[in-house]
Order: sequence, then structure tokens, then C-alpha cells
Amino acid sequence: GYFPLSPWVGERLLPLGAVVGEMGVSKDIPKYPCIYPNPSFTEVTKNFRTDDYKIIAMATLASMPYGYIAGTSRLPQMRVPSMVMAGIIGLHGGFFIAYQQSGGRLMGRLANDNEVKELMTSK
Amino acid sequence: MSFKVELIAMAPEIFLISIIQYLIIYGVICTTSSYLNYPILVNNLSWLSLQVLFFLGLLTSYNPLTYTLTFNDLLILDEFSIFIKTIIIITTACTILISVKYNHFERINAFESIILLLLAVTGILLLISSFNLISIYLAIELQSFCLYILAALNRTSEFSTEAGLKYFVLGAFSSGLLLFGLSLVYGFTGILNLGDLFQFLCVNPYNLHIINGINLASLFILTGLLFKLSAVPFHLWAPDIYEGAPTTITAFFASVPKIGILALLTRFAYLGFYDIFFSWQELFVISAICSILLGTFGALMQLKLKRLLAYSAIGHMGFMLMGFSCGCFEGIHATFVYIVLYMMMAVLSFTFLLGIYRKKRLTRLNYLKDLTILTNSNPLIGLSIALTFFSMAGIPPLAGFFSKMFLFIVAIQSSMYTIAIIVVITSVISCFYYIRVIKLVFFDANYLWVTLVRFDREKSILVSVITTFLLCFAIYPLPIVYGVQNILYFLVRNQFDLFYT
Repeated sequence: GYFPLSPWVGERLLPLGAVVGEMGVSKDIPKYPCIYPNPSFTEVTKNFRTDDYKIIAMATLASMPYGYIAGTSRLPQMRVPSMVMAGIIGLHGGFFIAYQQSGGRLMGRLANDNEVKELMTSK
Repeated sequence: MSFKVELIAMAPEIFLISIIQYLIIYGVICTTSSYLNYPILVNNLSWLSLQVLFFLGLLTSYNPLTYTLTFNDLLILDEFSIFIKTIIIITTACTILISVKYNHFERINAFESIILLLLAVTGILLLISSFNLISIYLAIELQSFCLYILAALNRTSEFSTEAGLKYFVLGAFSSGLLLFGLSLVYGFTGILNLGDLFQFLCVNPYNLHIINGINLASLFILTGLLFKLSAVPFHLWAPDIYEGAPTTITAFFASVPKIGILALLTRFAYLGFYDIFFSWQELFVISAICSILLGTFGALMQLKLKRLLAYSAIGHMGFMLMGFSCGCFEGIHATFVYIVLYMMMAVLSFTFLLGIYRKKRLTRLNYLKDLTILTNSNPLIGLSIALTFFSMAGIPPLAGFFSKMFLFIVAIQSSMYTIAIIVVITSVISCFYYIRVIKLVFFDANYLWVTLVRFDREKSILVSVITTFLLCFAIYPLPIVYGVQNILYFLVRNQFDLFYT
């Protein structure tokens, strides 16, 4: 059977001979060259480009003024906590969007010329 | 290493679950803080949840993966699930948007209501992606538990408490029936996965022992699911709960959970159990006819707005089940076009209910006769109500006419002439109570000038956008019609792909 492991733990148990399987199967046909058919968390996050970091930063920074004014007209004392919470939401949202974009490039679902040049030639 | 593609494919659900936890911590810390003067956070959390839904929509729509099985085939991500999830996210966002002022006027001070709404949405998103009998049941229960609590949200109201208790008791009973049906399927086949079930039934069509067992199981499963859809004869809870629950929660009940259950029914009937579909068809047809008849005649007698909308919802569910029971691609195509348009009309009708308040004592509309105040106070809102209810009645050239027409055409093409005739006649009868609303607004003179609370900006934008869409659908219906067709094409294509691989 498959033993679900967190990304961090799973990678470190592999040298010890842990038998881990793939829980997910993508049946998408890649439109671009596929570099990793099932990329891990580390592989995807290492592949973050400048554009991905820009998405994370923009999502966080754009969320904060929204949180500052979101429903706080009668609660001025909540403006800063709301701004922080909205920033956290933006940070998470931006990170997941960047993760999807990076993972999509590695799986050949999005345009990945840079990844092909860097990773496939080094392989 | 195992948790790989799941982070990409199921990113929306994982994002939502993690943000809900942060919002709970944020809500608890801030509302119990003497430094922050124990603030009431419903309004703030409503707007933050809109931000969450915005990111959720982006993650869902711009997912690079469009056909993935995750968590050992427990959940599936395909174009169909992406489309349904997008509709759910937009409808939920509209529901939260129209609830902001209502929560303020009705003194609903529990920020947990927003958290529960988001948790219910999580359950519905997981339900749409479910590909295994166990995950189906778990997702339905996650969604249902949140809705039971939401129905009883207004703790100072006896009606609300009664609604929550009724919903809990009846919902738990129907979940028990659903679970029994699912366990019978496993008992007779040893299979939990919907794709494997389809293959199994294709290979063993003449094994009477198994087919009879599956037919029995499907009866229980359908009973449970038709209860959740408030389809006749499992509809008795709907009017009482719609009336007792806070109106914003009723707006959510009337729209969002039903899309999830219908999407699940589509996978069940057209993927897992298509081989025995024609033994289910009778139940769908009977339920559809009875729902339309009861929705029509039940609504005729109603004096209260919320109960009228509850019976109207039962009637509309009958229409959707009619398209569903055709057993062909065109049937589910017409059903899902109807769903998209019905969601808009449902959101619109509840927007009016939530937005119209008398300034004196902040009393809102409860009875149909209260609509007469709109004649002098706000005739534009009256005009929007008229267009919405004309659309719901199926008067051309509004969008509701085309959605009903597609269903009639499909029913006739599938040789279901009896149901088509009954539906046409009941549509004419149902026009009575929709046009009665319009008669009350424009023709029943009310010589009292009642000052209404100004219709707020968010609701005004929502009403104008959706009303314009309903008017203009006749001019350019192709995006919705062809969009739904393409999505359902992928569902059918993936079904064959799963069979042959």
C-alpha cells in the first residue's frame, strides 16, 4: 500500500530504503517537453522564477491595503490586524499560484523554455 | 515521496483549509482581546472571505492540470470539476456579498458563521472532486454538518433553532440511508472507486445477483441524494428550514449545495452506474414530475416570500431532474445550462429579499403583500424584481425561457412526451404566482409612502449585472451554451479514457 508522507519527511527517508509510492497520477498530455512528470515540493520550489516571486510579492502587497479597509470602518482598532490577516491570505494565495505555475512548467503543461534549457540539458 | 502532484492539483482545497485555520485563530484572538475592545468581526471576516474566494477562484480556474487522479484515486480533477467549482465560488461570493448589511441589521454577531460557510464550501469542492464512495460520504458530511449549524445560527430565534434541529435530524437520517446504499455497493462488488465500478458493471451486465444488489443500493443512494436536493418526496424539510434559517443562509442553501449534489449525481449516474441508468430513470422521472407539481401548487398558496421561494426551488429542482432523467448527453447539457441560469436568478431573488428594509424599525419584507410598498418607494427595484420573476416564470425573451425550452426540447427528443406535457402545463400554472408578485408591486396601489433603507452599492451592482445578463442572454447565449457543452464533452471523454485504461 501507499504510505503518505509529508514532502520533507519523504525525501529524507528515501536513502533509508523507504518504499513510497505515488498517490497522484496526472493523465494530462503535456503540451511542452515534460521535465518531471511528478515533481516534488523541493523541485517545484527550487524552480521558482523571478516572475513567481513577483506574483507572491504582488499578491501580498495588494492584499494589505484591502485588508486595512475591509469592514473596518466601524472598527478602527482592527485596521492593522485585518491588514496583517489579509497579507497572510495574499501570501498564501500568491505562493499557491506560483507553485501551480512552477509545477505546471515542470510537468510540461505551461511554456517552459527556460526550464528545458537549464534542467534537461544538465540531465 | 508521495505528496507531489496533489499540491498542484488540489491547491485550491489545501489553500482554503489552511486559510480557514488562520481565520479561526484570527477570529478567536481578536474577539477575545480586551486590548482591541472585543470587536465584532462578522463584517471584517465577510470581506476577508471574499478575498479568500478571489484567490480560490484564481487557483481553480488557472490550474495547469486538467485531468488528474489524486490521493490514490480518492479525488479527481477534470474540466467538469473545475467548471462546477468556479460556479460555486462565484455563487458563494455573491451570497457573502449580499449578507454583509443583513448581518449588521439582524445583529448576527458570530464570526463563526463565515468560517462555517467556508468549511461548507470546502466540503462541496471536495464532493465535486470525489471519485471514491468513501470520499463522497465524508465530503457530504463535512458540508452537511456546517449547514446544520448555520441553519440554527440565529440563537435568539425559536424558528432558527427549530430549523437547525429539523435539518440535523432529517439530514442525519438521509445520510444514514446514503451510507447504507454505499456500503451495499461495496458489499456486492468489493469496489469503492467510481471508475472501477463503471468497468466492473460493463463487464458483468448479466450477473443478476450483482445487478439486483446494485439496484437496491442505488435506491438508498438516490434517496439520500434526493433528500439533499429537496426533491419530492423528500422535500418536506425545505420550506420550514428555508423560512426558519437566517435569510443569507437560506440564500446559500437554495443555491450552492444543490450544484455540488447535482455534479455528484452526474458522476454517479453517467459514470459509475450508467449501465443500470435505466432502472434509475423511473425514480428520476417520478421525482421530477412530483417536484414540479408540488413546487407549482405548493407555491400558489404561499403568503410568505421565503416559503414561496422554497417551493419555487423545489419546482426548479424538478426541472433539473427532468433534464437529468433523459439519459443522454443533451439531457445533462440542458440541465447544466439550467443550473447556471437558475443560480443567477436565485441569487437575485434573495438579493431583493435581503436588500429591502423599511427605515422605521428596520423591518424587512416577510409577506408578499409587503411588496406593495415598492410602487412608490423604489419602482426601479420593482422593475428588477419584475424582470427576475418573469425570467423564473419562463417568459421570453428572458434567460429563464431559453433554459426551460432546452429542457423541453431534450425531453421530446428522448420520447418523454408525458413529462414534457405535464411540465408545460405546470409552467403555465406557475406563472400565476410569479406574476402575482409583479401585480403586487405595480398594480396593487399602496397610498402609504414608506421610506426604505437605501439599497447598498454592492447589491446594486450585483442586481444590475445579473439583470442585464438575463435580458441579454437571448441576444448572445453561445458562451454559456457552448461552454457547458465543451465541459461536459470532457466528462464523457474522460469516462471512456478511464474505461480503456
